[in-house]
Amino acid sequence: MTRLSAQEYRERYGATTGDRIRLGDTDLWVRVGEDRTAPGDEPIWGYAKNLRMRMTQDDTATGPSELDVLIAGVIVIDPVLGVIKADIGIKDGRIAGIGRAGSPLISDGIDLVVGPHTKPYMGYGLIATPGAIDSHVHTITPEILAPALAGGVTTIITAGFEEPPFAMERVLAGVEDWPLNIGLQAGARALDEQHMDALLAAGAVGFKIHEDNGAYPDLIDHVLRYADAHECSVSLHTDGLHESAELEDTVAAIGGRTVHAYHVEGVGGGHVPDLLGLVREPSILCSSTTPTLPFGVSTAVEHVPMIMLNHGLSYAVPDDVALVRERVIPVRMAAEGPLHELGAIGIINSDSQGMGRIGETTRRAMQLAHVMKHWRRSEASEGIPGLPDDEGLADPDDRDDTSRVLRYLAKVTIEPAITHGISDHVGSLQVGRMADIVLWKPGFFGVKPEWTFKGGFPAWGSFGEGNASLERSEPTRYRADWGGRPQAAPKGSVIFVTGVADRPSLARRLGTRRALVPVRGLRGITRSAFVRNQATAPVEIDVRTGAVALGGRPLAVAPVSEVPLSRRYLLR
Amino acid sequence: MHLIPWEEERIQLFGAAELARRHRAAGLRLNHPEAVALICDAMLEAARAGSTYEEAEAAGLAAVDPDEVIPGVRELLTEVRLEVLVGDGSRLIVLLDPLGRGELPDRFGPGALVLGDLEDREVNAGREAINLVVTSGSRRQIRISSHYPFHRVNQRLEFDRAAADGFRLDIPAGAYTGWEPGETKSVRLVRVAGTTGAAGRAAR
Repeated sequence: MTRLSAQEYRERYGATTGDRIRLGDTDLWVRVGEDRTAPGDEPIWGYAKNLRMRMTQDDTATGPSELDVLIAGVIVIDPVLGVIKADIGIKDGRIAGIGRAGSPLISDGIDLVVGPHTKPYMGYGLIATPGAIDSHVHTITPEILAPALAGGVTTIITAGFEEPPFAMERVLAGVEDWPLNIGLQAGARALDEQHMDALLAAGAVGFKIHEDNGAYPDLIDHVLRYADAHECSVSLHTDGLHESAELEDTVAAIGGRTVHAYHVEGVGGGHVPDLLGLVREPSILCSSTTPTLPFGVSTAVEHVPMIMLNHGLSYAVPDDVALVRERVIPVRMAAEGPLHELGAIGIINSDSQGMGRIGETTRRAMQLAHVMKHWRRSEASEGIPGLPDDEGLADPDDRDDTSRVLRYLAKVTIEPAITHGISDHVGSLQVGRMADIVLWKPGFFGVKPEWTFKGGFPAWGSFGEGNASLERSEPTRYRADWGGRPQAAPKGSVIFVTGVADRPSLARRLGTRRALVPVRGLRGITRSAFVRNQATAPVEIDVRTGAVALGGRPLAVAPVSEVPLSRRYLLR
Repeated sequence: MHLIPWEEERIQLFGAAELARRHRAAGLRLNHPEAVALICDAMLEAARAGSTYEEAEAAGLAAVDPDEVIPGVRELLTEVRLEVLVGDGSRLIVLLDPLGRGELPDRFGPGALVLGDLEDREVNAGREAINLVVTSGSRRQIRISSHYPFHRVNQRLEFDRAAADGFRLDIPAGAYTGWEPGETKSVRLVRVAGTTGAAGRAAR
């Protein structure tokens, strides 16, 4: 037996059970709940280290039992697994385990066997999260892809406007060489079933109903019926004009069936002023978009020009300006954060370039978690029923936000994965999922990743000069790693499609080298299928003002003037 | 100009540093990328002006005062790697904690780790252990790392090899123990765990 001081142990191997880590410059702290690594036999690669022949490498393990890739000694922050110090094992591009790596010849309890064909990466001192899923992406320009990857996004689900089929084919071809999974939700723009059949045959993973293409009750009913029969997703941007339907009519058309409701902050579109009433319905899986998160002092003012220019309106037409002003309701924006804190809005997504910033999906989720921590400690949250546990309130130093961090991380990982029927593949680091892993230095968590693995191989990161004697010499900039280069990227990335698509023929037609992966298990679910955002909130909404209350108490957070993960990190 | 990528990258650093200089001149506190850019630019400029490697390094360390950055930036800025062009060619400079100035970092700064317990950690606890006297017959230094099968070490180390079969040094993973030429020291070994350890225990 040998002794190490508490400090030296962490300097060598990183945090362990019971330690707290501050995430970036937020006031959020996570507590390490468990340490699965091998004490005394931690695998470490390098000069005078032990990840070698006859040591923590099992020299007899060549073959199916050994890992392809090891990420050693990392702090896993996963919405399903929690906060765990562990080794991550990867085999065939998927997670083989979150456990203890090494050689069973010399260590006990090894569930991840390191062999001579295992590629080791040292994760000591780093945090690993599942790659983020942005479930509301408009592929307006291909410029969105690089910032998405630099923001830790590894899966995008599009939000309509990719159709018709020939256009979808071009978008898929354009994404082919980027290390991202993609699923196209095509716009449902008619009741004609041939129209919908053709979209699924072209690779659509589901449908988007959008008020700018019509969000009428009969269309909602028709698309949901079709979706139940064909197991595909439906995302809904409701009728803000009340041309065909008001909130109650939309809810009646949905009729208790599963639907992903977009923009449950209101300002991006949908029923004015009471769209947030959708949080009452368990079958409506609610998301809201990044521009309003967290609610800031400039949120309302920026939204007028954003909506004008995004929705084909003209400043020269006074009616257009009036329509937009009706949608921008600060008192409603103030309720969005508390509904996220409650877990009643379960998903955060970007609405990229359709009024959102794709590189900020994870960043804004963490900024919101920070703001809502303070809201929970203010008078504004007093008496609100149904608020979830908050370990920090019982901690003398208020340094335990583990469940809050996991709740907000879930909003950009596992909850959208469940919603879109892809949680067998992405959204967490459970065994069997694609090894889409974002590594972070704790000080940069949520804003600038250290390295992104896609399908089990490094695909994106902040890299320095190619001529330099070492990697990562300044100036370091985000760009593709080997796994993110053309030809390599499609080996680790997939196209999500429906089970009814003829995949071999679609693959031939697209000429793709990606696997086509069918979605499943997404129909008939309610918010109780979510991991950390299961609440339904019986909110009361004033239909004159849009103000939201719960249990007779106003549901509102004051706009913030300063957010973390921002000017300390970003050159601008 | 025939700019190679390395030269274009210099211009990127210059642009960032120039922006940072403007912000500093306006009385703004610097953020992380601004501070990195100014540190790099100072080293590159010193090298360009003919300074030595050490002078360029010193220029980097002096480029930004800790009071000129936003609180927390010092804790984020743990390392700068840069290739400069000094008189004898391209050289790598690595600055560690360049804004530290010997002061302790903020214990609760960005990315802080607060230990859950301050107790010593025991490693290799509960494993069968033996002590052996080991003498080096080498004319050179010998260093043995934590997990090297001890009975297989350099033949110039003299000890009871048969007794060491199945054992390794009782030191933390990734650490090592060294012998100077002719040195004799007593080391503690622990039996490896896993199937090898189990077989060894069974054989005794």
